[in-house]
Amino acid sequence: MIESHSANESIEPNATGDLARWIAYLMSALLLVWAGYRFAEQWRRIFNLRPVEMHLWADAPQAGGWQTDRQRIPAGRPVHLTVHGVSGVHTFALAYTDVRHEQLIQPGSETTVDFVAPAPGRYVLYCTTWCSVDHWRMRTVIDVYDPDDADTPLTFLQSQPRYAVNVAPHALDMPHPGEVWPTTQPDTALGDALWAEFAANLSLQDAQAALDWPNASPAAVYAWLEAAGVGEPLPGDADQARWAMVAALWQQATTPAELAQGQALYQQNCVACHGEQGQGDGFAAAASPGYEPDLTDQRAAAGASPALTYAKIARGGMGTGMPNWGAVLTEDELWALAAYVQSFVYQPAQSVE
Amino acid sequence: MMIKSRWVALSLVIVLLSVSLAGCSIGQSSQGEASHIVAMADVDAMPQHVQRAPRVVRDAYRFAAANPDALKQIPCYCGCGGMGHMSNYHCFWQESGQADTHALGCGICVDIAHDVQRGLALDRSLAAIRTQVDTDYSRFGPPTDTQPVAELAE
Repeated sequence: MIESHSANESIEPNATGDLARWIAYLMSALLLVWAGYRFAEQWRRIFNLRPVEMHLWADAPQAGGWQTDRQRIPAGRPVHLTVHGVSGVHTFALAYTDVRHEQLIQPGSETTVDFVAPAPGRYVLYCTTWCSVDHWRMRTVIDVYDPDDADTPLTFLQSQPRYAVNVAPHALDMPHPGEVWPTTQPDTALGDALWAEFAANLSLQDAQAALDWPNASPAAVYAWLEAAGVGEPLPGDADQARWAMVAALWQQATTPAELAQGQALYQQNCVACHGEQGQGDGFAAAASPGYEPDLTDQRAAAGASPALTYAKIARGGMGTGMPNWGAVLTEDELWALAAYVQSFVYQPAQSVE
Repeated sequence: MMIKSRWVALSLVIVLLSVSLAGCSIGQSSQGEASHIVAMADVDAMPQHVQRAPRVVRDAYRFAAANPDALKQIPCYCGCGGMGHMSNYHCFWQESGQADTHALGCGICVDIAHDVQRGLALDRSLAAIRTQVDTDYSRFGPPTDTQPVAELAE
């Protein structure tokens, strides 16, 4: 009796009992999935502190240039970069960051570089040692993505319009002779003295505002000085005195520190083609597809505004073999280079003495 | 006893499953490398002076030769619009099929071609690629007068 009773009972509530049990299973399963996921998230946080392994092969530009095993790295993560020397001798920097490797990468060598991946964006990794005539082709792009938003398209870090320096379309590729130009090297020291003596009431800021700096060419400044009669009557040869004032104005617009920075950048990046003194006689000039202009040419310099020089350096020569430096140098570095290039014709006062 | 061991087995399976799922998504997000294969013309089909060029240049010519429809819809910002180029494609190849030497001496032309190649490899739309090229290179100068994007036929 008892047995049959219990047997009866075990049949009746079994259907609902099973359902309840399976609902409990399901609920518990969902709870466990949720808990597991949270656990994995924590694990992921710990996991993220581990460095990203990355390899970089430094090959001659002909053979392949830079090769990497990954073109994308997550922002903020430590990166353990192993650099393999394959052919040629190179060093590198990651544009717009402090990541630099100054030690020469020799063929067959293996070194490691540790750095933290910067903010999301596109970064150019480029060679900083003149390795061959195709040195300027030693560039590759590393995309640094946001790990929480990996699909957003990335842009180069400094994408503000550099071209806004107000250079007319296609002016970059046109000859730009000045309408007037000095026949001798302007005497900056004399210019400084004239500004102090005759135009003390005209501040550099006033002059720059009046001249639409940095969009005015030296020839335009000369014409403005002449029309306004600044400093007149000028002592000695009025033409030379006025050019001295132009040169002094150009030097006042920069600083010794900026010129030193520009010179260092020029030595590292430009001298191979443009030559030590800017005369276009660098040892690699013959191998470049274009021609190297004489940066000491007074007439051409008289027609080049700081903005034009800046924009030319940033964009490079269209098809001439001059790279677009704007991809690797910061805005300050580009202005420093522009100032240094213009000091070939308007030298600082101390070097004229 | 039976129920208990079933519980343990079930929860173990679920925990492992969810952890491995999360692990998979981590693995994916830290990869994100280009996977789509993009067509490239044969190196041997390139003229001698292109074959002698640095590899990045060579590859850009090969990519351009194999993907004219894509590259003709992407502008170039190197300033070549002034010499009549209509798109980035024309920095590499003339309409006649002749190789143009222009890109042999151009940084921006080659960079743009590689960006398009990478975008296609990541399965991005041509419109999105063009927007990115505009954003990245318009700081250097004016673009070529390039036709608006009409997506490529698959």
